[in-house]
Amino acid sequence: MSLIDLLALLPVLILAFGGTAILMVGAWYREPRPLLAGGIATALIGAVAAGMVPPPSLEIAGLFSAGGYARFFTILWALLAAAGLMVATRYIMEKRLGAGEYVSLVLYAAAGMALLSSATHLLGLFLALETFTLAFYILIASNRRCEMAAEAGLKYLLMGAVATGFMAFGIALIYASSGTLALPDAALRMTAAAGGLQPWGLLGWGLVLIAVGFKISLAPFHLWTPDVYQGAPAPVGGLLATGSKGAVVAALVGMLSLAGPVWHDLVDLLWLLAAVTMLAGALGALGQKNLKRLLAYSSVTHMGTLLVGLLCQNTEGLAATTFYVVVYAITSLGAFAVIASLADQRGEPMAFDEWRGLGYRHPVRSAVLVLILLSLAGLPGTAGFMAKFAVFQAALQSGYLGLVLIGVFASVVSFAFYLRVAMLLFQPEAPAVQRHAGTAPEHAVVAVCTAAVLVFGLFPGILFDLIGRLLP
Amino acid sequence: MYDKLWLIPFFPLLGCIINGLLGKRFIKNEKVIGAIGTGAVFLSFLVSCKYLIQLLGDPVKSHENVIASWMSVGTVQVDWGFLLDPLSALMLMVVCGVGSLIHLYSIGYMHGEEGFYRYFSYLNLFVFSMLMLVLGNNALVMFVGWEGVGLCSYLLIGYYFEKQSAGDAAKKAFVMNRVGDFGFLLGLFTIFWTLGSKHGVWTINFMEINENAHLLSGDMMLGLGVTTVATLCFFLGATGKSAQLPLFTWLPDAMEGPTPVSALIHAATMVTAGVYMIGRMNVLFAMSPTTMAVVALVGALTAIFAASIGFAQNDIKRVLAYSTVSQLGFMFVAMGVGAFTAGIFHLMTHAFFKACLFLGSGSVIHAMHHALHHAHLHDDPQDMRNMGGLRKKMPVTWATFGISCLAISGLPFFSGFFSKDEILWWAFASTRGSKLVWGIAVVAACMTAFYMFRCLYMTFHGEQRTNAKAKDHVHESPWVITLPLVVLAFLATVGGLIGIPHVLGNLVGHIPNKLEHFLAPVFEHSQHLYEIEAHGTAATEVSLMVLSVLIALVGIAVATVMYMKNPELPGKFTRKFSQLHRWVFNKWYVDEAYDVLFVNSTKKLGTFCWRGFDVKVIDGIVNGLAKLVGACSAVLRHTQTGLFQNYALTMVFGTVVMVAIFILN
Repeated sequence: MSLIDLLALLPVLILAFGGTAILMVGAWYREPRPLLAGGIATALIGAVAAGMVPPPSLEIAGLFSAGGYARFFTILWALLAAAGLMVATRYIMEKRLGAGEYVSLVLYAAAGMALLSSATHLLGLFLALETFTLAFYILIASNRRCEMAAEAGLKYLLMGAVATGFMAFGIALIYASSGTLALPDAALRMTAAAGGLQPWGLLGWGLVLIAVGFKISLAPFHLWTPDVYQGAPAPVGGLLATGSKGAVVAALVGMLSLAGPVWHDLVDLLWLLAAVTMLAGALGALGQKNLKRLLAYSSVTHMGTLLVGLLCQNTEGLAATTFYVVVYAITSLGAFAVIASLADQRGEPMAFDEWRGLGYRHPVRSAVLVLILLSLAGLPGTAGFMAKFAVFQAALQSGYLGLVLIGVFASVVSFAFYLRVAMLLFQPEAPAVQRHAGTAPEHAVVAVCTAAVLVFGLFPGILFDLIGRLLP
Repeated sequence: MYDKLWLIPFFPLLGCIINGLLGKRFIKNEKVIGAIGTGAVFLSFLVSCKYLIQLLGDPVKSHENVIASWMSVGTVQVDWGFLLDPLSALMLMVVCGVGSLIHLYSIGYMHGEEGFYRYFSYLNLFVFSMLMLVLGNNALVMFVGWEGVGLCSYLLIGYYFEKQSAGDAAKKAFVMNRVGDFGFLLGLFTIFWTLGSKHGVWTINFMEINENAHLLSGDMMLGLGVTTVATLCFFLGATGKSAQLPLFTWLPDAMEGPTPVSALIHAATMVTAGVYMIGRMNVLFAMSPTTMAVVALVGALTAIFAASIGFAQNDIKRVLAYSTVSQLGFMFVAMGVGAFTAGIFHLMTHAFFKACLFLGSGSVIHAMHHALHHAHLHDDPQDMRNMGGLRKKMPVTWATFGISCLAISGLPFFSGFFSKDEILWWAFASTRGSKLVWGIAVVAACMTAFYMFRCLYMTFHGEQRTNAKAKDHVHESPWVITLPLVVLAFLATVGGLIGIPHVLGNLVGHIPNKLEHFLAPVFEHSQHLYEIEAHGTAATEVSLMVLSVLIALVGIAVATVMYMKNPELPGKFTRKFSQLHRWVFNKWYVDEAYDVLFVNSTKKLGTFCWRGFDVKVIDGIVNGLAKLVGACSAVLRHTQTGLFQNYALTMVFGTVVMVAIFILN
């Protein structure tokens, strides 16, 4: 690894070494505020470095890309880490968690996600995926005294181990059939060889897809999602729902644009996965009585919709998918930030009964939550609508009418459960108890997310133009 | 030069937004809200004055000011554009001038109302819409205003929405106006489509339509000329907005709104929009003698029909409402016989004296309401049978009301005299006139004098019939109410002097008819082109004038005999002609007839669509689907056991299925 590679890797190095430094300092110095501030600063510096320092080369050691697309997501995940830390401040202090460990884990996760989004090599993909997954195993169970969190952490770990097995096996098969792990070649040589090994290579890709499907909770590999979301504290849930999934999708977009032909053989499979995932998510959410579980199922539906965009295999589809990822990340983060800001000594409000009438106690944050839920449902005027619209339009152009119909059906069903929460919040007969007023950092995150939902909903051109220029 | 025309509608819009958004929570103070509302309209008035003076000194008489492009579809370009010409300038003066006075009046009249800010916000929105209607340089901008005033009318009639009758009246006004709007749109589409498809002129700009109207002269549609079809459709729109037969029944009900609203919207401005629209499109109307004859006849019939209903009403505002319908009929007679100038002239004078009458009645109602309220009585403060003898108690109101009665009856040298006489003369002598229309109009004029003086006498003269407890609590209204009355009464007296007929002008030297000269650029062209003129000797004109004055005097005399000299006479008449009285009192049962003919059947259709189709078929399907989805969801939930083993098993199962698909492929 040369100096040029290191320079190109600078943003990720800042995140990783910054995290390590804070971990070290945290071992002796246990005051949480400075540590958190340091973590937030590190994340922001990482974002600035990714945006301001031009990379000397466009690829790093043949494993990762340093192009505009990779840098865009590096910035996004670094900012997400900063926001995640801002939201987590009160949680860490109230639960008396080790701030140093928490901050460093979030930064490691961000570094992993940034690497994943820029992976151009299956090895790099595997390493990056494991990096942030490991960080999340610990983060989910960070509050060891809470039984549910421990259970969620364990479930995520065990299921993740199974998925990692699939992935490793899949990569091995791909290597066996193509002789390389570098991305365009791993897919291209396989078809070029056209020998007896090709079916094994395809199976390898299928297994990789299953592992990826576990990470972004495609049905039928989604069953862990509600349990883990429910158990994980909201600040961690926010990162899990947005970053971990978004980074994998970004990697998929990267892989797809590099590994063209092989995907044609996977189209039927992807079609089926997308359809099943959208339906399973929407139908699963319908009966939920817990907001965090509802958000989990909602994320399942959204990932299914994303897959529709990925299936299009053209620039519009990729742009729509990327737009969708960004919007989904921002919106989801907003939802979890609202939940985290309402948490108090009774814990986070989760069950629907705790939300009933909360709109009369906390009108602003309740209204924001309604807006976010409507954006998730895809109400025109919000960013969520533009995202769904772009994906479905690209799918129609590529001739996936059936998927679009299923997607629209899932959207209609999803309106039912999102609106039910909105209705609950403003039910006058049972005013809820007063919850926490929230802290300034929490409000800031909520405000930024809300503004982004509105701005990207009304002026989607801003983001679309940017993505159009960055797509690999 | 004319590039700040947009300021005129802008101020009221601003006022509407400020009062509407900030009035309830932040401003709160009635004086400030009232000042913002009134000031906004007054600013528009000042700007209008500036442009009127500028226009008077300008040899070019029509100016367009485009502020932005609205839409551009193919070759059709629609702008947010304004048109200032003598016609719109005159309307600006009426709308902003009378509008400012009525805003000022409202500060006093609406004092203490809960929705004070809402009232002023709506009223400003109305003025904004009316100004868009008047200033629009194309039919679509006019239509925005046309719909806007309809909306504001709806909002303001239903201002006391807690009252069932107010809500119903608002709905009725809106629905009937919609019927008319439908006609307006059909007319617009007809012109737009014919001009475009047959002659390649795709436009809805008024100036361009007028320039190209002659192209339409040979075109036929449905066995009639295209212009006839289009103008009849436009006229249907006018009957809705201006409350003519057969769409007039909403206007009397509209009196549920606050009285200043009745004065501004349902007397001075909005209801005259139909007349204005015909004036704006006079070239098209002039091309179709058939439509003009229909307009004149409908106007004349409305004038006499509404006047007859006015005979038997006891609610002071309802008398004035029917009087408005009747006077609007006169304006349509004028438009129908080609006396466009006279029609617009009467529009203006009517705005003065009818606004004054309505505001006067408001002053009386205000005083009565307070007196009755003070005495804890629940008598109707609008019923003239509870009034009488208010002359001493409310001298200013009485004097201004009286002057306006003289003006509307058409007594010499009051404003109504000049305008009404001009209309009657044209009806008699115009190339488009007819003796039948003239005859009906003369009788209606006589009836007008009668019922207006009946109203004056019942309210202000004779014994005071107010309940003894409340009698002494009736007082004159404060200055914000009486000042507009005085100004309007002044205008009702001298406002006619700008349009002195030539025959009178020639008698005392050479006083020109200033208004005719001013409006000539708008109307002269079509009058020349289609040979519309009134011809007759000066002797005929003068003798007709004398006749109409005499007839007005007869009406007044009969009213004096019946309601001043022998107060028992009306009762005798009622008993003797009880059948006739019942018909007149119940407005010839027009509402009931509409109920039977249209309303009930529409309601039945609606009920069928709701109960039969919507509830059973649509809801059945929708609810059925929802239940199905719910059932699927319930089944799916069984997979969510919470046990890791099951999750892993599902994952393996999914993998097996995927591999199977691979192998099968």
